[in-house]
Amino acid sequence: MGNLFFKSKDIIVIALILTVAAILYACIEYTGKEGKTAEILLNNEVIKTLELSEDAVYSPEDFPHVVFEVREGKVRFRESDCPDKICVNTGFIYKQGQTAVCLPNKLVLRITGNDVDTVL
Amino acid sequence: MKRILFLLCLLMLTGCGTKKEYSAQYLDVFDTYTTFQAYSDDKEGFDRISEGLHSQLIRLNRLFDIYNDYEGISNLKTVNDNAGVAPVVVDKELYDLVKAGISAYDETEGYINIAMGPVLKVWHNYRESALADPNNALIPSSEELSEAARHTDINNIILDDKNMSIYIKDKYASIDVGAIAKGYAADRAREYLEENGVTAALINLGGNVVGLNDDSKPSWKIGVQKPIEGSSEYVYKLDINNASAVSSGNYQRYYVYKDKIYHHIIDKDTLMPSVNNKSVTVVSPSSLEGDIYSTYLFILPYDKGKEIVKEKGLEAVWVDKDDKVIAKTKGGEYVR
Repeated sequence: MGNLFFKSKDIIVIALILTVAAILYACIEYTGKEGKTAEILLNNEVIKTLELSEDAVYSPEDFPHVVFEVREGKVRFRESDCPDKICVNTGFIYKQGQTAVCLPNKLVLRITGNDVDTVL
Repeated sequence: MKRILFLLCLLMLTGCGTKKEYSAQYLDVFDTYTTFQAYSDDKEGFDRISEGLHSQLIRLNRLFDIYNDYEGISNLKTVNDNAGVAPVVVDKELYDLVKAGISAYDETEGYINIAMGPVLKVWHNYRESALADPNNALIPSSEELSEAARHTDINNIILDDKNMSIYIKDKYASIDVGAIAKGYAADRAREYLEENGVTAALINLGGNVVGLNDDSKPSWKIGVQKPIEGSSEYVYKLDINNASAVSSGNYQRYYVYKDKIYHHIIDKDTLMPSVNNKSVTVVSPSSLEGDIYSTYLFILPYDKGKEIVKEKGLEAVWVDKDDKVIAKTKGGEYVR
């Protein structure tokens, strides 16, 4: 090779590193999308993490009248005893960074990860 | 070989920062859901800042409250309760906000009028009753609204710079700072963060966003909400860098009567909720300015609003009454 800066051994190493990087990147991308989770927060603290890959129904211990439902990779407030029902009306959420909020019960449901940093 | 390793090391150095992103939420200020994100060396540092920010917001929320009394403070309710009675000496923040409200009136041909209290109160009462009992929702009569509108002259508000007091001359008049309070509070919040050495942070005060940026976080990505209450879907993506973004929308506070939305932004010409747009988002250096102009543009038809955006050098995104999205930003114009 007549390359002045890189020797042929270097090129092999570069190729190797790039391949490994590409595989790692693909893994992270793939698992990042498959293993999506939702968090339920009460007063800033995560009180429960839900895997969106498994259908489930969940009520936090202190909120027997609030019901969360995971179905087909999406999650929602299925029931709530709050007066405005804004949380329930938000419906299913599934995109990274999406939230549903119940102000009266101080409960926040959010999909982890971000596509945007905030929505206004 | 050594050269390669050296290059790799350099790459790794540029790729890694020592600061981590932390976040907090507050559900007890300005009747909305507030989020705070910031880059910090450690959790303790972040928590300290977050606590300080939270108590600052609680304080401002109490000062600007027109519905509740708090022990030991003179707030806007105190000023309103003393209409026609006596001037009330207030804290600097409340004084500054009311002063800013009066300049906003001049800047917006009276469309932003903090003396609209009596009219907004009528709508507030109808909205509260409707939300408590949606089947019996009603709208106010035009007589009721015009009667209230007789007491909305901005000149009823008398400011005294020397004593920092506010006096409302007409005993039936009252101040409502709903259109500007969160913008003002967001600007104070940004100052608090700057004073405490925070250089990369994002505050979202339920529709009023302020972003601080440095090299570690060159911009924040902001989604303009689809105009449906509680929706976290967005119709447009904005990048902001050391700036504010504010949305005014018909989905933020409203009730439904005969299948029509009656929201909280009232057009002074009709005394009814304005109908030209579903939401308007404004990007500007100050969040107070953004709050004023997002409301002003929300009320105006697009053709008039776009002239103002041009003249003022603002960036704005409209979602009009037919769900058409129009964005005028530094990146150019976008229509969908």
